[in-house]
Amino acid sequence: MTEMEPSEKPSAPSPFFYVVPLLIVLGVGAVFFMGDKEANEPAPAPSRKVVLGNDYYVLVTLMEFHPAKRGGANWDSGSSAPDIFYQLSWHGKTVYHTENDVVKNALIAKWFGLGANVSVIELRKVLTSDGKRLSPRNLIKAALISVESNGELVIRAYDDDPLRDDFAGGCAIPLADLEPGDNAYFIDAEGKPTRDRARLAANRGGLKRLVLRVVDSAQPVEKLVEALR
Amino acid sequence: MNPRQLQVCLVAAAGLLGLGLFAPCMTLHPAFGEITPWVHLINPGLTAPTTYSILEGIRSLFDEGSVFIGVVVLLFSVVFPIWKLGVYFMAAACRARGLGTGASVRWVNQLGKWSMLDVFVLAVLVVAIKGLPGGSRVSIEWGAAAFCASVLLSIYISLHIGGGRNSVASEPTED
Repeated sequence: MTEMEPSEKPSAPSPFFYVVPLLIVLGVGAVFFMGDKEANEPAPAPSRKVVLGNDYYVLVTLMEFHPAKRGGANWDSGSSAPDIFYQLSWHGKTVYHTENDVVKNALIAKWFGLGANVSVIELRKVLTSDGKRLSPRNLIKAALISVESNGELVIRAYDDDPLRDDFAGGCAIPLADLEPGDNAYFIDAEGKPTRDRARLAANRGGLKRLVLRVVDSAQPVEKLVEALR
Repeated sequence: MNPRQLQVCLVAAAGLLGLGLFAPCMTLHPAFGEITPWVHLINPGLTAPTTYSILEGIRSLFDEGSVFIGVVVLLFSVVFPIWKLGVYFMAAACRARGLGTGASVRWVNQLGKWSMLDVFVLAVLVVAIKGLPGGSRVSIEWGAAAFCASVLLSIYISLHIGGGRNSVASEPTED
């Protein structure tokens, strides 16, 4: 006759079970942060060229003149710096100019792609419901062009004078060579635009360099504003 | 619900809680009424949407000096749910070995009434921010859904782990 063995009581589980959810939560957090880190890594740069057939806003955001005209003459009487403005031509037509936005007495001129000619008195009207029609799209100060394979954009820089504007220099830029964003060009010894700063003609006179901003017009208004401001 | 199903539910609840705490919970889209486009022109950062997770929200509370509110939200949105699930994990392991689930489950179920506070805090925040003038609005992100799903799943688990009079949880235990 065999003796009945007393039934063994199961052992209590390890206290480790208490921390299992904490480990799961931390694990999810770690995965989340790793994914977030990967997402924040710079994405491979998209094609830097403009897309043929797409429409872009273009404007000169910066223009620098040499201290003297071509040939060495002063810009204005005395030692005054030139009054700078420019024209953009596409298909032989002037599509944008800053004759009403001349930067006076400067060797470096800057323009912004957004703005409104609103007086302080009119500002109140603009800010109220009467001004709703003045949308950010209406404020864009740039030329709208379409990129074609053989198209080019002609930029002409001038010194604004009361009698006769002085032509400071110009250049023709093939549209297909443009990149979205800022395109810096330097005028070389032959008067041609180059992206290579080393080829800048140091004492040529007239137009020295310019920055051409190119913005895809198909973007939402918010991004357009961001890109043009 | 057998112990294995219970453990699967607990792992799911913990995973959802992790997502709920770390994932985007809400996005604030600031607006300034009719002058929003002008504000955007002057300072685009002011109109940029901001996304918060629950943990980022708690950190913001601490950063802004709302320590008491931060501690309360931290306790009832982070610490308590994790501790509750820890107790349930232990209880599920006990059940798998034929042991009682112990008094801690009864404690957690009693305190569980407080766990809805996190949902309440979230709701109050949403309503408060939705009430801002100028057209500002809040959009709820998927992290909030994960968090709510975790809370609901843990309630469901509590019903099966120690809710009934005849459940293992209510049996007398050594602890």
